[in-house]
Amino acid sequence: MPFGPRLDRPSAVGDEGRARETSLGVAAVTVVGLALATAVLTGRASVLGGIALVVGTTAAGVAMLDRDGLGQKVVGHLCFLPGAVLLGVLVATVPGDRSPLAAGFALAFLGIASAWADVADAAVVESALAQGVLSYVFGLVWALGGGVVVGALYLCWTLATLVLDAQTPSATAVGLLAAFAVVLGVVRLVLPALPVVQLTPRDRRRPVRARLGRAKRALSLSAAVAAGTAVLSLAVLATPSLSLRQVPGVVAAVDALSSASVLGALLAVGGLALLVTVVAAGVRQTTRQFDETRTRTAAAGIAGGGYVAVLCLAVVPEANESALFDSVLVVGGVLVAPLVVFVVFGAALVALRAGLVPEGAGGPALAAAGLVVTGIGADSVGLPAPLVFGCVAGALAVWDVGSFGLGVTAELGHRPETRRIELTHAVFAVGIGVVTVLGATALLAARATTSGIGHTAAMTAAVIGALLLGALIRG
Amino acid sequence: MRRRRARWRGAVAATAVLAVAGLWNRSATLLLAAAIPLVYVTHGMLSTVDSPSALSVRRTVDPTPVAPGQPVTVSLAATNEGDRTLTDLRIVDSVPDELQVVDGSPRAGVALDPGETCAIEYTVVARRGDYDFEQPRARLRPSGAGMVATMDLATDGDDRLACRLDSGAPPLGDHGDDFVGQLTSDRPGRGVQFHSTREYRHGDAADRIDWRGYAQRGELATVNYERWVSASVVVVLDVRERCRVAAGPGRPTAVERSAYAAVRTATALMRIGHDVGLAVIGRDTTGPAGLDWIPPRAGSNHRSRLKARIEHAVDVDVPSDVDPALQFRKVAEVAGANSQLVLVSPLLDDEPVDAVTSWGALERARVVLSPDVVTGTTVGGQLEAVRRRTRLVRCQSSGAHTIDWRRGTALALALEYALEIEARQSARASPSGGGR
Repeated sequence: MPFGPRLDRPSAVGDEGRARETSLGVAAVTVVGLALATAVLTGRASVLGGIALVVGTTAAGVAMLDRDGLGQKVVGHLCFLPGAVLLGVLVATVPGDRSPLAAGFALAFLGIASAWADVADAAVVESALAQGVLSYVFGLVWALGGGVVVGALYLCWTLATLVLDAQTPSATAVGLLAAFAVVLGVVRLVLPALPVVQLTPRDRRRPVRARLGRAKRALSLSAAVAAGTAVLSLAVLATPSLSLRQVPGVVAAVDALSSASVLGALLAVGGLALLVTVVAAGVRQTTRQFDETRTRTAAAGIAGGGYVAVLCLAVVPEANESALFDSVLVVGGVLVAPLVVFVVFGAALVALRAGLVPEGAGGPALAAAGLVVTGIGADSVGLPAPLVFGCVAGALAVWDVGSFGLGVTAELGHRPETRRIELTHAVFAVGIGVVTVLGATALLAARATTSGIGHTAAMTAAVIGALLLGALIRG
Repeated sequence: MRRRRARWRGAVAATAVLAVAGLWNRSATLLLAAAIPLVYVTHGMLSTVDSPSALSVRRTVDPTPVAPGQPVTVSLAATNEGDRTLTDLRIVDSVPDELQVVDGSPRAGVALDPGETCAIEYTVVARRGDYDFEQPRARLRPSGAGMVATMDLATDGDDRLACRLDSGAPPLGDHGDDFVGQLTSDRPGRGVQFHSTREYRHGDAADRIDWRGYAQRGELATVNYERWVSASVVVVLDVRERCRVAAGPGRPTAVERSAYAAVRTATALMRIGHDVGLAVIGRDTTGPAGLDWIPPRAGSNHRSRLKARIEHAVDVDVPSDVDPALQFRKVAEVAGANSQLVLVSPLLDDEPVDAVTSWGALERARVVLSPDVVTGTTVGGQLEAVRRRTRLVRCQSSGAHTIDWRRGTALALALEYALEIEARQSARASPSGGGR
């Protein structure tokens, strides 16, 4: 396995799966060679390296999302959406005149990576898109839920502060009653979710169930009484003539009950009940048998939480410290950028479904198209003509060997040793490209030195003639 | 047959895009670059290929005939007898649909110089029947891969795989000499191998008296030899619908493997002098309780009859409304009290286990020979394998001897020792039963 573990699941017989390794290797070397040449000529190796890295991450994410395991899907989520967003950011931040160059190489890298991972397929892209949208929605839900939890914690903290810092016994009593009502209500709500019955021996479950029913009723009643008393006490609080100080012994009792230890214990009971409920619910979910839909949902849910965690712990603090980015802008970008990614992938899916991309050969086609765009971009920024010719010839060579390798896979599968015929074909494909580049460069040089040969108008006429010929023969 | 393939439509589109971009940018470089795709298109158009007529192919199928479930190696040697190099030759052998390739590949893609030979080797699992290999198909492409020539290649050598239930040497052939009743037991009696001595009784044959001991001690003693016994054995073959499953596509079914084991068992037992009968569970015939029943006998005609009946049991569809419990019970009745029972079943449900247990209650000697068709590559398969092993253990705990015939292992050796041990134990357990 010279190129590491496979990300796709090929058929041993044929008809499906990625192209053979030798052909893909030649195509990849061609793309990487052109990228290196461009990096040397432009002096922007880091940008191309970054693009290649996030493209590889994105393609690996799409491939992992096509797997069945929960862990693989979670890793796929964490690679796919962040990788695609980063790719978009990298391409978008390249200066305007060089953006076709970066976009072309991004397409070429994406084509080669998707050919290696065998993900340039409508079904795979659709699955990745649907799961990506799901993880994005889960991310929003996590963010919303996190906000609610933070709000609740803030409310509890305010309540506790109110009770502890209250100036009058009446205010303390009201706060205490409110805290009682909240904790009792929380315990009442989470009680059905606690595995009390399940942990009881089978022969004692009936009386335990009855006891639980009574406890629920008692908790509901107590919470309602505490809440009602607290509301009524507000009236007491609003009446200056009435005060708890007038009732003997109450002040001492209220002071004792509103101490930090009692209040802390009370809130700890509520917090512990919530924690046990969350753990019990988590254990229940993880011990259930996961079918495909549940696995997808769970993976998207976990990944959504991961997005929020990474965003809160790494991206926003980093953006706060950076002078270039504003944290609000970053959060806004994080919310909007995935939507842009979904639109782009949706468009790619439509192209695949509509048959605009050759069936089963999406990877090589994308890589070839990317190199053609790169050639146009290289000419636009005034890079040397041999590089432009090299990009175009490279596009043809990549398409040739890539589609040839796919044909070999379709006919023979992955078991037979086919390196020799692949290399023979690759020698012809690359050799023609090299000869063509040399010929075109020589022709361009002759045009520059000799007036009258290769006039632009004459060349245009020649190209139109060639186009007509091409349309007639149609490959 | 030659066919041209359109591979360069995208190249024409690239030419158009580059030309438009060149005109838009007023760039001679892009205009010149627009011609590059057309070079590839032209190369694809100009490269042609002829049918690979100077190609000789030889196929070898080894071994054939073969028993069900056994691996068979198929080799294909293709030689370029022409004077041109074949740069892209793809050959696919026509494996019969019913057979499963378990190792190697029947496909190859090679570049062949003149006089060069390429070898294709793959392994299939044999299933009962005769399977004809069609001609392998070859495809040849030129360097541009713009054209493909396809043809079927005439082959020399083997073109058929024969798989028979009675193929291969009998497992006990090395030990038997067709002498009726030559199976030693632990019981003393007439024979050739020394067992023990006892006090002389009036009427003992003179050739059994221990004359050497008489000369030394002056007391007459009679020599016991290991006794030759012959048993009556009924092979119980389980061919119910439940057993008509295979480990995978193209693999022999459990019934095929059971039938092979039954034929081999019957042949081996008859060779060493036992009477062998047959009871087929799962069919609905005119026999007792619908059993397909042949009482124990000996002789080559009887063996042929058994084999034919077993082959028929494999081929015919079985009804689903048969009561297997009743048939299993009936086997014990019709086989007689002295017969040993050899159950051949994949043990995919509890019916055979219950039958073996009930036969044990009737004090019948029992052997369970179970071909394994359960695959361990899936969770469900692993669970079924555990269940099957549990059933084997249950059979063993009821007093039966069990033989777990795993896939890929030779039946002969396991049968040889297992049946011999069973016969010894049977002869020792019931002094009056079965021996003659």
